[in-house]
Amino acid sequence: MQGYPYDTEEANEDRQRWTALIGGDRNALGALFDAYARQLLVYGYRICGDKTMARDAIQDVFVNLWLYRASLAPEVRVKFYLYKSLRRALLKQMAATRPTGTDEWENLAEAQPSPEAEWVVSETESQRSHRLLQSLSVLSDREREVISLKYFSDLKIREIAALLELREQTVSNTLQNALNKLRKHLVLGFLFCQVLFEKIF
Amino acid sequence: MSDYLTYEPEDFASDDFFIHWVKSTDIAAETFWQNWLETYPFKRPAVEAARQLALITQNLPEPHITEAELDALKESVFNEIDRAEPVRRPIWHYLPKWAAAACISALLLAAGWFITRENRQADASYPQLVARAAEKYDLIEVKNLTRAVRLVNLPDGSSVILKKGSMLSYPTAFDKASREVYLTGEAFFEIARNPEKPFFVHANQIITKVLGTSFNVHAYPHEQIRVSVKTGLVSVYKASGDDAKAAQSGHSLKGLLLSANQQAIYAGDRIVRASATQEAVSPVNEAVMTFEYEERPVGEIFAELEKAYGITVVYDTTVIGKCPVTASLTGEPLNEKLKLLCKAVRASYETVGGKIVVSGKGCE
Repeated sequence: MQGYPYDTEEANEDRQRWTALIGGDRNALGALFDAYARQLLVYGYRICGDKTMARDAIQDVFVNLWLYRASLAPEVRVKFYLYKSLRRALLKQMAATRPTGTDEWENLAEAQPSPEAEWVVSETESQRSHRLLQSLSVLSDREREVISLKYFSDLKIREIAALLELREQTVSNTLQNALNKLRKHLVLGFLFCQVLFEKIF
Repeated sequence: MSDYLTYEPEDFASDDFFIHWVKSTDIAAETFWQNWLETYPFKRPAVEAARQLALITQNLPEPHITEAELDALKESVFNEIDRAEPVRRPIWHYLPKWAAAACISALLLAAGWFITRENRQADASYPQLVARAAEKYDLIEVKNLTRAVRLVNLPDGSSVILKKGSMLSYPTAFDKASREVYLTGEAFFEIARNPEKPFFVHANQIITKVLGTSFNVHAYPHEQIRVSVKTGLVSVYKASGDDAKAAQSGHSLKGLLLSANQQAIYAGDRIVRASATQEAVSPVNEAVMTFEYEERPVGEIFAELEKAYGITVVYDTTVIGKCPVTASLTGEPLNEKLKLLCKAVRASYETVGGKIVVSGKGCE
């Protein structure tokens, strides 16, 4: 199931900007920034839990995109390229600030309140988020990341696998497990779902 | 397509075509899935469960990111590029030698003229104010180059309506003792009351200090600076004078005091009171920024807010649009206005994707 019209349209627009960028068009860089900065910032923050670090990494990604535009490959899926560059930049920064390596980092992350918890605290009145937080707490970090990449960032399983350096099958299974957990959890919250439906439609 | 028959809710929910259907209003997808459901009605519960899953996963809590943050980031990207980019080959490279000499001397002349001109303006231009403030605070800069008005929500809940061609810088978090912002151009301020933390607007050569009120500052470069007060009490003083130090510290108001409907102008190095008739100052503000209502349908009030703040308010016109409201909201920050209005019609509001979504069960 690939190649729906909605897909190719977005990709076409990206390809035009990409070609213009390689040709030295600053506006094309600006347009790419406008299209992707928000979701990249969300993703970056999700990885490192630090807004400043995420911001710095995104800045690096876009600055490098411009400085090394001459050596960019003309045929890439732009969105995936940006996610991949951001992830690489962040892991590099995180390794630099935490000399003990990535395993240690994962333990540290466990000890601190998750980024989600912080956002929800900052969203004072939102009952909805509270409910979602409860559902999310049944998911592992990896599952949360996959869910977010799939539904918030609209990446394909294939791309998520490449991004996280996992096998496609592993990503598929992770996604299925996560959805399964969410569904079980949400049977209880059926009423709440109805409220959500009303809000959306 | 027949493999959909074997799908469980989780399979549907992770299928790209299915997600596309749930998310969009694409006719082709809608037709396909409706037909499919008619053919295989026993799959309806699974599809419904999958729909809910796909919807729920799209509403995961995400960190709140403001337009201002993104603008600031974009600007720093381009600043960084300008710094790193090797300088382009200057134009006189292509000209004969004598022409180069002529060009350079002309440039020097021009530069000299600009420098002396800048010096005359003291050191209070917006870039300098911001550069100095940046040593003290982590600043966010918001520009409004194209829109008629642009709403800026400050960290303390105050609202600023930034007019076209204006820039505002403010700290990501205000410090304990005061709230300071930096303006070039024109803006209308509605300050959240907080007597403990006076609010300062630095605009070119003048500073406006308030404790909680609404007022307009007009300070485009090379135009006369004007401050007009809508509600409450403010003081205006020169950034360089003796008043500056005294006013900066205490909670009392020094300098030229202005109360509601009064204006001050900065003329010939002095701040003077201007009578309302003398100035054709922002009649737009005076008319638009008044929010007094008696038995008005809340829908009409929302429409006025949309216009004044350049925002979009989403609400059910049939359920709450007609609810009558009597309220005096002039001078309140936008968030405060919305809170009061929602209270009046027993509704609640949240900000979703830059829009204000009001939901309630109606007033009767």
